[in-house]
Parts: sequence; structure tokens; C-alpha cells
Amino acid sequence: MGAVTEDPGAPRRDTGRRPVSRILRVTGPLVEMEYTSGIAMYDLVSIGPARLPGEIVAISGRVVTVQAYEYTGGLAPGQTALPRGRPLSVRLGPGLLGGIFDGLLRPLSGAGDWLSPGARRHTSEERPCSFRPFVARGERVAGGQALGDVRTAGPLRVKVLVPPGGGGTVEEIAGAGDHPRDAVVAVVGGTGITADALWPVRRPRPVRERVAGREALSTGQRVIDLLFPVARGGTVAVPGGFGTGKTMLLQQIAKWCDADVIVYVGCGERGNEMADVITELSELRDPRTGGSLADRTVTIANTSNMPMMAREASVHTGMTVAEYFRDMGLDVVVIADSTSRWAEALREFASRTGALPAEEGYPAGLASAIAAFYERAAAVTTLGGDRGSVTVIGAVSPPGGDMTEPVTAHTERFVRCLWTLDRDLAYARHYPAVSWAGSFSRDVPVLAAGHRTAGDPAWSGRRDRVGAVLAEADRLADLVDLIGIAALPPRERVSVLAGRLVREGVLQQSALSQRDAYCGPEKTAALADAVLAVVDRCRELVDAGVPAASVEEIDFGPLLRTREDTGPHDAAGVAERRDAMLAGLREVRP
Amino acid sequence: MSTAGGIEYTAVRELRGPLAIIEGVAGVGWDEYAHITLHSGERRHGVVLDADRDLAVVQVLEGTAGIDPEGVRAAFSGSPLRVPVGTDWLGRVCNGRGEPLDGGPPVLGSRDAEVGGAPINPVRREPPSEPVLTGVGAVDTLTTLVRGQKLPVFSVAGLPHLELAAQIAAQATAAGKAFAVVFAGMGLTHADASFVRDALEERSAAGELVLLLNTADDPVIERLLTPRIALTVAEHLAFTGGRHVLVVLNDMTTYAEALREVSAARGEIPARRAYPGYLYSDLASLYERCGRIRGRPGSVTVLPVLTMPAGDITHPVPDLTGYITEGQIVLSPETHARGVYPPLDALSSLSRLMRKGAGPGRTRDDHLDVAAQLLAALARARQVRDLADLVGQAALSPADRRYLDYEEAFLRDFTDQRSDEPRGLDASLERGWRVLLTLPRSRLSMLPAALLDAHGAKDADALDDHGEAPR
Amino acid sequence: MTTPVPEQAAQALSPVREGLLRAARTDAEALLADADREAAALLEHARAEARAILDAARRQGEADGSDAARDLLVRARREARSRTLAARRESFEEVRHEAAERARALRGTDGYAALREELERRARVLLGPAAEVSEHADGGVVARVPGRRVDLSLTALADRALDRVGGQVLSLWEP
Repeated sequence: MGAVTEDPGAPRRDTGRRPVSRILRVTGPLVEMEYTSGIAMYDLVSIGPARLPGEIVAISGRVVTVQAYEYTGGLAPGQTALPRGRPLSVRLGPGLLGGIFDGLLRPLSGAGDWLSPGARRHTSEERPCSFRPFVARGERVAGGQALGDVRTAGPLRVKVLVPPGGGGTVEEIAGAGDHPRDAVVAVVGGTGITADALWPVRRPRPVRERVAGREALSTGQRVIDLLFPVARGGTVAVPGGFGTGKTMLLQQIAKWCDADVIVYVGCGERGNEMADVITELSELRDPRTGGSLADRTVTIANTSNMPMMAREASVHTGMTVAEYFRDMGLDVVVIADSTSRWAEALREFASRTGALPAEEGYPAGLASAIAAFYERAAAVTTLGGDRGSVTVIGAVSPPGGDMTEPVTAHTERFVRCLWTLDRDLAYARHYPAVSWAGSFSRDVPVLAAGHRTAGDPAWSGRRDRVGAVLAEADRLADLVDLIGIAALPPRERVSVLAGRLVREGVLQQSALSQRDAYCGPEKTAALADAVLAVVDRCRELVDAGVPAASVEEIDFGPLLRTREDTGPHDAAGVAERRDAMLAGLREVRP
Repeated sequence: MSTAGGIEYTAVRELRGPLAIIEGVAGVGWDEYAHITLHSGERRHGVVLDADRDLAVVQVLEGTAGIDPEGVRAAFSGSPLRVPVGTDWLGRVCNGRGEPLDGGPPVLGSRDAEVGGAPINPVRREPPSEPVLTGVGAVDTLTTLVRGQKLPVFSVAGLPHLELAAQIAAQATAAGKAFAVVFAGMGLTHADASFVRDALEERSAAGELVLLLNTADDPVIERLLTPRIALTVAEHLAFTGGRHVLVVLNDMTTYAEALREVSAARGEIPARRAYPGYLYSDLASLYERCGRIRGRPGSVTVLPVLTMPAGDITHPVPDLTGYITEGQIVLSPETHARGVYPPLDALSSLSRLMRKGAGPGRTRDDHLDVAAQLLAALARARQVRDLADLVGQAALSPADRRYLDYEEAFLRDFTDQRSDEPRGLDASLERGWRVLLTLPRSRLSMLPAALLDAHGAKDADALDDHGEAPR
Repeated sequence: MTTPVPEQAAQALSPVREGLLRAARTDAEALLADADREAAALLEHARAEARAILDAARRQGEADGSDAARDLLVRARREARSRTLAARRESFEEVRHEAAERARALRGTDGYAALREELERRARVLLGPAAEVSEHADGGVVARVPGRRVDLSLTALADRALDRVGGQVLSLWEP
């Protein structure tokens, strides 16, 4: 299972033996070699005695330029380079789930304590594949159609599909039961099909059609599900400076969102953090299947000190893996932390190849590269006729917190949702530090319609009210700083209070609390409704002549603690505490 | 360091800036380390920047000044720079290239290793979980350093960050386990270098210190090697030798400037503030060498020190460092001006791994609560001070005035410490308690009632009976 | 590229290496023991002096006495340490010197003609048949072609051999 960089069985454009080429020049990751026949742009090359993987990025006359994916120290002119005759591809199969891979999808679990450059052996265990056929011999099948499915390490079963573009009559089909991992389980139109399939990472997998996403991805994070929801198949960017809790938020979503498969791409981030994600995912149970959360996750770990160029490939690798699961009719979420590190890899590569720099040294093609990446997200009808989706959540790390820098600025234009993390909120230990003023979701109208048909017609109104409370409180906060709270009229003092209750009782969410880390949609709705009801009651009190100061002094602790005192789906518990709070407020008299 | 056997190349086609272009070479690899012998017999060192057919473009570490292309010989070592590793480094003082400054023989080892290192397999990493105690009370209490963590000190010119780094290097311990410090000084003035040597003499004599000193007048490129040598030595002391190793890198801003200078000399396209576009990756290739590894004893903890030019935390060096490291210890000119050492800006400082390395079973049961309460009260004190600046102290409520006293006590009785004074964690936490108890019990909501009782926390009236909170 | 010492030459040098470390070890032991004794005496003296300073300071109620005493100890410790290190360096250089001497001595042995021939053959392998080969004053050969040069003098070979066994030299001062 894993990458195909060294796979002798991988398909090639032709079957002839490929001539060996010679290295002419080495400058960092750029390697020039002699032209040999039968090579093409973006083909894979194994370079030097260590067989470093590399990709052909330019062919000029008799000289071919290869970008190596790993450190080239010690590589010398005169050594050999072996063109592989196919583009950088990855092997997709049931063994991906629960696995941890590098940016080229080579398994890390079997590798040593340190990752030295060069071709890595595949050491993961070769479990037999337990196959179950869906079709019979003689049936006609089309590309993308499921021939059967196989068991994975976890509860999910993975479909074996007719490759896109393939199809024909089923000439042979394996019976139900265990088969060797690499066994041909079906022959369709003269082509043998195995459970594992190769796909070039830079080419999006085809679909029958893209459809509009109408269903929200439930993330389990209140501020998102309530205010800035994303549709399945949508795109999100999460910009945030360091220390704003970006990785923490993404990890929470990886753990708790209601997707079938999560592809977590750690792209140029911290090693200790990656170790943490890996440990936690294997310890946590998936509330929906009862299996380990790791069983629905594919982790691609390319930490900041791992090769820069493999980092560039890692986001495409992750996307390809996601599309593979999507094509089985699954909902997949790709989390890329952080796309800025990917963009920096693009910049470094461009600078080494002498491309003309545009803003801040980034190549002029940066915007289109970002757009193309997010464009691979979609809700689709698969070739096999199923509904599937890939939702992309990409972290952005603006240098110096500068939101006008190129990567942040371009990304904002291409995504449907923006969850901006605010340094001031993080500083005040308000987590998740999603800024309500600086974030948006363009999926709100379509999702409001979705909620209406799904039985929560109040969703849209609730969102508007919470948004209004926050905006009003923000407006007044500036005033309070100038003239002091005591100078405000009573109703406005309640508005300031309302802002605090919404922030502390609804939006804040503790990732460390067992009950609060994940919040079901019904509890999110109940909490928001509870706080809004209490706010309404407070307004009535001041309108009835109760001094604002007395209202402010009421102990709202029980209301604010409700999010931690009730279970993740306990809407009834929330309602109970709301009623108790309201009953208490009824006692307050002018 | 292995010297070349065999062929020396004598045809230097071109000398330009720090570069020497040597022709007629065969089998010379990129990034290979070179030994250059001048006609006079003087030896210099270089690194291959470009291996182009039979040409090798060599960047000469010591510069090309005084080189006559006639009579120069260059030998290539067959691999990127390697250094001997092992315990012979302990107790040694060397320059930034690992050559002795202490009058001893060259550092020897039965094995050697490439200074560039290789990334730790993220799957093999063991999440950090035990503290390194620095003996600096405010740091240990509020931003506990955890074994395997990377925690930078952000400072500005004129603050005593070097003193703090040296103090931590001199005092740090790992609960009695085998411990060593590798201190890499980059671009230090001679005065600073000798200060560091003096401050760490005791640790050096105890065979627990490796000191690498690249001074301001040493070759700039050497500065790029110094932290790599330090980390290579540390990795082996830790993961082969089973020691807990603290690596102090001082100062990374100087390092980054060297990187910028070298990048410019190579004609690379600059990114932010003329630093090279790969600054992030380069810094990560250093900082990320910290950690613990499953099934191996020992740990590497990295404490980089950096000065923020003009105090600007958005400057690329602190900014990118902040993205890589697990928190930061920030020093404040304002606290320094009040005569407090270490001048910690406690509210801006953070150790992201503290929760894993401190508290019950790690340090002391009340550690995390005390730290959280100290900071919460300090945040409140800061607000009160801002308010006092607006409305005047007289307009503050008595409760608020108490916070001003608290802040003073926090600085004088808790933070302030002599630079040669090791303070145990228990003593530091007790000081923390004393300072907290200047506040009424109702303001200490983050501390469990039982502990408040045990420490005799008082209600506001009881505090008032004794007049103002004790200074 | 590192070029391995030709096999025959390596064989010829191997008694040099073995005998060398044995002999050096005996010399070094004495040298290092002397240095250690001196260092210990130095430290003891400094400690006594520091105690005196501290006592005097205490009598006079001075606060900075401890600083002075500490400085004294720091200096003494460094001095002691540098004597030990200097002794190590001396024994290291002695080994190097001795190795060169012994290599030079090979010139007078019966096997030298064969060794020199082997070195010359090796030089031509490295630089090609056209190489201009000349005898080095210390024995062994130096070969040249335009742009390249190979030093196969006996002293250079001894140096390189010692570099490769660098770790073994540690045994001189490590227990």
C-alpha cells in the first residue's frame, strides 16, 4: 500500500525499456539531466544512487530539468537518473484509511526514526483483501461503477470501481471471500482490475456532474455551525496568525465533523503537533460508527522540516485521496494545514527556476494555483451515479498577521467561507477565536433553505439574531471604552450584556472539555435559543424599570456553564437550564 | 572532520565575491564540503553551491580575500559537512565551526554525522510530557519548558536576554536525569562570548556543557553551520547517549541575517524584507530537530533566543519562528525599566506544551491552577492600570486598587530574581501563592477551595483589617 | 570524492597505526596524570583562597566577597581545565608527529620500492596515464596533471589514516 514511486508493476505509457539518463548539473533541488527518448513533462524520475524521486519540470533541447522531492546533498553530475515513464501518481486503495503517509503518499509507519532521503521501502503489512462482488459475469458496467467492495481495518467498506474511462462487459469477477492484496478481482473489457488503483495526483478525477451543495457539513463547532456554516462540497479558508488556535480548531473539526472520511494534510507544520494528532485520533472513538476515529482518517504528514518540494505535492496528494473516496459516494473533508506553506513551496520552486517574481516573490501564477486547488472541492454525482462530496478546509498563515499578503488575499476571493481567527480573541482566551466580524459564509442562503426542509425552519432567524446581538455589542464596546458603561442607557447596557452572554455561553467552546469539545446541531440551536430567551427577559426587566446595574449583577453562571454541563446532544438539558434561569429572572422585581 | 583523500583540484577558473569556480572536477556533489589550501599553506573551507558538469561553484566560508587563483588547491570531502559526535564534546569550548578554542585537541568521536540532520519521522515522535526546570521562577511557573519542546525567547536589543539564556543554560535540570546543555552563540561580541564562558564555567567543568562560539568577527557563513553542529551534537548526546539535552541558540536574528547575506550573495530572489523565501523552511530545519523519539531515551529541547528588530513581533524572524515553535517567552522593555529581572512579559508569554509537562504527576498538583490564576489576575491588573491612566488612581474602587498592588507584588516578590540564583519550583510556587494572597479570596476563583483554605486565603474585609495588601 | 588509500599501502601502514597508539598511550598516561595533578592542586589552592576571601568578607560584613570568591574559583577551574586540555592536545599532536615519523621511516625498509610503485600506479589510476609523478621529499609520490594533483606522500597518507581512526585516539584520555 502506498506510493508508487518504486512500484515496478505500475502502468506505463509504453512497455519498452526506458533508457537511463545521466545527471549534468545539481543546484539544490533542481537537477539537470540528459534528454532520452520517451520522457514527458511532469514525468517521475528516480535520481542518483539513492533513487530520489523527482518530477520533470522543463525540457529544453537536450537538457531536462527535474525538481527533486528530497534533499540532494552529495548528488553529483555523472550519476544516473531513471525516467519512470509516468507522472507522479499515488496508489489508492482500502489500506489508506487509518494510515499515515508523507507528501508523496509513502507510508511513514514502517519507516525509521529519521527519514533519510531516497526511495522508501513499503513495509506495511499486506492484509488480504476481503472482497464482496456487486455484479455478475456478463453484466455490462461503465467507468466509475462499483464492481464490489472490500473490508478496511475499520468499519468502512471501500468500493472497487471500474476505472474512469473504462467499462464494458464483466468477463470475470472474483467470488466473495479473501483474496491476496494485489489480486485481480475482476476483468472488465479485457482489463484486469485490482482493489488498488493508480491515479496521477495533479489530475482531478472525473465526475458525471457537479451539483450544488445544499446540505451543511456539521462541524460540531457552534460558532461555525451557527454563524458561518459550510455546505458539503464547499470551500473554507481559515486565516490566522500564530497562537490564534488554528491547528486546534482544524483538529477539532477533523475529530468531530460528520464526514465519512477525513483527509488531514499536515503541510509544513509542527512535528510534535502531528504526533499529537496521530495519537489522539487513534485514541478517540467515532461517535457514529463506534470505531476509532483514525479508521476514517487518512493522515498526510509533511512537517515543516520534511522536504519542501514534497510539501508542494502533498496538497494534491491529499486531494486525490479525497476524490477517490468521493467517487464511492462518500462525503470527504480535506483539511490542509497550512496552504501558506504550500504556497511558499511554490514560491521557492519558482525562484529556483528563475521565474519572474510577482508580489513578495511569489510567482505570477499563484492566484490560479490557489484557485485550481480549491476548485477540486465539489458536491458531485459520481460516474457511478452516487452523490459524493469533497469539502476543503485550508488554513492560511498570514506572515505578521497581515491579511493583505498575497496568499491570504487571493484565497479569500476563491473560497465560499472564511473563518478568520482573531488575535485579540485568542489573547483573551476566547476559543475558537473565530472573528464574527471578519468571517463570512456564502453558503448561508442555500443552507437556510436546506435547514427549512430538514426540520429546523428557525435556523435562519436564529443566525440573524445572534449576528445582530454580536454586532450591536461590538458597536457599543467602542462607546463603553470612551465613556464608561454607566453612561449608557439601560437598554444598551443590556445589549452589552447580551454580547457577553452570546460570546461566553454560545460561541466559546472548550476543546479540552469532554462534553463541550463537540456540540450536536440540536444542542447548538438550544443553547443559542436559551441565551436569546434570557436576553429578551433581561430587556423586559429593564423596560419594566429594573436598574441595568442590578441586571448586570445577576449570576448568569448557570447559563454560561450549560455548554459544559450538558452532553453534546442534550438539547432537553439545555432547555431545562434555560427554564431554571428564566424562572430565576422572574423573581427579579423593580 | 574527515579531510579529503586523493585528488586536489588546482584549476580555479574564476573568483567572484565569496565564490570560487573550480573546473575539471569529476564526481563532486552538490552541498559537498571542501577544503581549500592556499599557496601560503593557509587552509579555508567551502561548500559546493552548484555542481555543473565539470565545474564546481564553491562558496568559501572565510571569503576569497587574499586568494590568488594560482597555487590554490581544493579537495572535496565526498559528502556534505560531517562532524564527529559523542561525549568528547562535553566540557569543550569551540568556535562556530567546531574547532577548539580551549587549547585542547580537536574534538574526536568514534562516529560522525551529517550536520544537516534528517527529519524525525512524525510517526516515531513521542509527545513531550515532562518538564525541564530552568531554576528561573517566573519561567518555570508560568511558561514551563517541556522536554522535547522548542520555546523561543523574544527580546529586543538592550534587554538581558543573553543573561537569561546563560542563566537557564547554567541552571536547567531534568529531575536528576542525565542532562547536558549545548550552547550555540552566533555573532556574539567578544565581551558577550566571554560573559557566556564565565557564566557557564561551572557546568562546563562538570562535563555537562558544549559551548560553540561564533563571534561577530567570524565568517558570516560559519554562522549557518553553528546551530547545525550544535543540534547534531545534541541529537547524539540525546538519542544515542540517553541524555536530556537543552540547546540554546543565541541569537537567531543574527543567524537569519547571515542567511539573508548569503542568499543575496548567491543572487537569490528575496521575499519579505529581503530575507530568502525559504527562511521558514530553514528555521524549521533547525527548530524541528527537537523532540523525543519512541523507544529511545533522552530528549532534545530547543531554546532559541531572538531579538526583534525595533521590537517588531511581525518582523519575519520572530513571526516565522512563532509559527514553528511551541509558544514564546517574551521580554518587555517596560518591565526591564522597572528594574525587574528577568523582565518577562508574562501575558504575552506562553508555553503551548505546559499543560502536558506541568501539574499533577509532572510538577506539583497546584501548578497549573496557580499559573492560570497568576496570569488572570495580572490581566485584570493590566486593565485596571489602563483605566487608572484614563481616570486617575483616586477614582479606582478599593478592589481595583488592590490589583495595582498585586501587579507590583507580582513583579517584585514573584518575578524578580538574581541572575545567579537558582530558584526551585516549590519556592517559586510559594512565592506565587504569597502574591496571590494579596487579593481577596473571591478574586481567586481559579484555585480550588481546599487549597485556598490551606493557604489561608482571606476575604476582602479580612484583608482590609490588615490595611493595604502587603508590599 | 574520498579516494581510498590503495590496499597495499594501507597494509604497509597498518603496523604504524597499531604500534603507534600503544606507544602513545604510555606516553600520554604520564603526561595526563601530571596535568590532572597540577589541575587538582590549582583548584585546591583556589578553594582555600576563596574560603579566605569569604571569611574576610564575612568579618568585614561585605556583600561582594562572594562574587570575588566565585570569580576566583571560576578562573581557577578554567585554568585547571585548560591544563588538562593542553595536555590532551600535546599527546594528540605527539601521536600525529609520531605517525608521520614512522611513515617516513618506511622509506628505509625493504618493502618501500614496492610501496612506491603501488602508490605511483594508484596516482595514475586517479589522474590518468599521462600524470607527471614525482617523489616526495618525505617518501611517497606526488602526481600532477593540469588542473589536478594527488598527494600520496607517506606523511599525507599517515595523516589521512589517522583521521580515519580519529575516534581511537580518544582512548588516550578516556578511561
